[in-house]
Amino acid sequence: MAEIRFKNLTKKFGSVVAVDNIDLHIRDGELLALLGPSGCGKTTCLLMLAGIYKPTSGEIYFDDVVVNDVPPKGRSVGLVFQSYALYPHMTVYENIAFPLRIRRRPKDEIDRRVREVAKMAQIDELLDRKPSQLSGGQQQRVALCRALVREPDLLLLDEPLSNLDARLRIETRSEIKRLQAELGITTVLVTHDQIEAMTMAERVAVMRKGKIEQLSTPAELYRRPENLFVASFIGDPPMNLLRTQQSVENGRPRLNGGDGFVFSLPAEFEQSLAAATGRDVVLGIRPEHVKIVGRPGEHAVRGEVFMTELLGRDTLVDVRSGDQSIRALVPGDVPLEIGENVWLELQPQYVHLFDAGTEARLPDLDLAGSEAAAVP
Amino acid sequence: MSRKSKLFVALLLLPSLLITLVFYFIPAVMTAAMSFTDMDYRLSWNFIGWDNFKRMAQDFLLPRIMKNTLVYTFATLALFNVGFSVVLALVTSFVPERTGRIFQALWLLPRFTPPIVYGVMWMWILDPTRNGLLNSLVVASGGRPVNWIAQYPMATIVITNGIIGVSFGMIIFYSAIKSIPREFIWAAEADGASWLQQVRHVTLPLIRWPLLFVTAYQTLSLLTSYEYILILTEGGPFFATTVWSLYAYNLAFGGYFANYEFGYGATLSIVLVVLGTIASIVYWRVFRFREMMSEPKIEVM
Repeated sequence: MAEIRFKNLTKKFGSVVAVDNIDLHIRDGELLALLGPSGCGKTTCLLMLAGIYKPTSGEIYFDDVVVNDVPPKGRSVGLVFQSYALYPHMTVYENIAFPLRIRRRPKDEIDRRVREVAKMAQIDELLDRKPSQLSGGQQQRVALCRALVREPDLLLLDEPLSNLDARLRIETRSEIKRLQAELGITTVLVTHDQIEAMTMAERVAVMRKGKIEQLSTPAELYRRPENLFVASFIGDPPMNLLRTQQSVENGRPRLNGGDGFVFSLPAEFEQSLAAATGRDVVLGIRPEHVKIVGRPGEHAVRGEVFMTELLGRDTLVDVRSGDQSIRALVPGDVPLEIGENVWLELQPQYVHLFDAGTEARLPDLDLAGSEAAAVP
Repeated sequence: MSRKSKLFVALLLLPSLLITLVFYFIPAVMTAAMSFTDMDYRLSWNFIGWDNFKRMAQDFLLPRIMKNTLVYTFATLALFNVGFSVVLALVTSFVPERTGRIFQALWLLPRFTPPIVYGVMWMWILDPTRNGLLNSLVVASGGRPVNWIAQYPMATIVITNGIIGVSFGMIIFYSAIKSIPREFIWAAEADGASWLQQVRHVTLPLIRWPLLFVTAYQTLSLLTSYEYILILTEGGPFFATTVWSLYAYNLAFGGYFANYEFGYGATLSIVLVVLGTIASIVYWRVFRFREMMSEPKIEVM
């Protein structure tokens, strides 16, 4: 087992900076996800962990040892690819045995360990088959077995579920999580799929353009995105992000979104908005926190139904209010006509405020309060 | 398919059919016919039945020539056209792409060079006097000039042919290696395989088809090639480097005393064609080439 540290880790390909001065601490036994759109540097990080890429600068520590110059075979790392990369000319048995055979382990030990790990992954019936004779899910298990057979200190999973169909993905998700917890093996999962990251990982590092935008638990990512990118990336359907100008009327802060869109906030928000005085503010609220109400209220804005999509359990309602478009996720099949006038209630406790210039989250109310209270 | 579209397909195939017919099929048939004649410089079609084949069976030179042909073909194949070209393909795919490409381009140069120029270059390299390139090195390091071609005739023709022949396999294997998804190589690396282990357990098995194809193709190509041997050694000294195809050529057209034995030459050629065909069929079966063929991407018929 191992804990992993990135210190000022940078990887450049020519003039392209793939990973930009990252610091990261992966705890022993933890399942951490690197989440981000393609090209964000997450796979580059993974390949540097495996020893396939060498960092341009900075260090990677396995426990207290710098491993920058340690080749893959000197590291105790198991790697699973999105494409599985099973050797097509070898049987399942030979594929799983390969890392041990390379290390010239005794035949009986190889045999025992291959059968052990295959049994654990429930593919012990398939050992004589060739990869081409297996389903995607089975191939995935073989790849996992090959990565686990030599009991590595670190398990690296590169988009392990992307090639599986939806139902299998859900099953495999929990299976990998259970296996990881059982073995207690430090694991890094690379994915562009937020659901995969959120459901499997203990902590998620959201990456963009080679940098880590936010590192926190899945719940925290959802509840308290630290900037506009994370806010827009996490959540499905995505958060409503409305660009507004701030003003004060009757002692209460107001956000003007243009063409009649006006949203009044409780007075306490003034504190929070003060961090972005004179600048535009992005008002964020998740579709599931937008309520469609029949009458005007304190935190309601007026709008016109533009479109509805029935998603099964819920309905996604797209409402135009002034210059803004707001999506509300409401339970059940809602009988709304296109063009119908509605009121949308944006509950203040679910509102996220961002500085439109710096894209950073404005200080939270309760947090600001508790900080003040903490001062002796 | 309608009559009209059948006609259209036939029309499309016609040009290549004609070319095959005129330049490959008819000459082959004529050679086959000629092998039953005692045609000489008078070019008369005088059929003599199986006499040429009987003569072949008694030709005391033939065992030696057969041995030469086998040694030449399989030594060149194993050492150069397949063996060394795999090594070069691996090396050039491992170094930075630009370096590899430049190296390959240089190695391809002899292919674009007229054979006679390439041959003369080797004559200079192997010249028996102290003016030859190799001998000037030998002399410079205190040795005595060596008569390379006379002393090592078989090695000479294997090396000179091999150095040109390498580039074909090198290019094909290089492309095949480059088209292996890099995840396979990464996986092998992560599994702890050294470079040599990756080559043995992953790369070579994954380029199995190109390997078999080049082996089969180059066997046939070497069986029938003789131009560099003709230029460098003319098959000598005393038949030491005369291979089957060169023997047939010399009987018909060349040697020091022009024989013009077209009839007997044709007999030897036609036997070589039959041997080549047998070799192809064996390769086709043993290497299971049918498995390598994919379904056509569009449906024509």
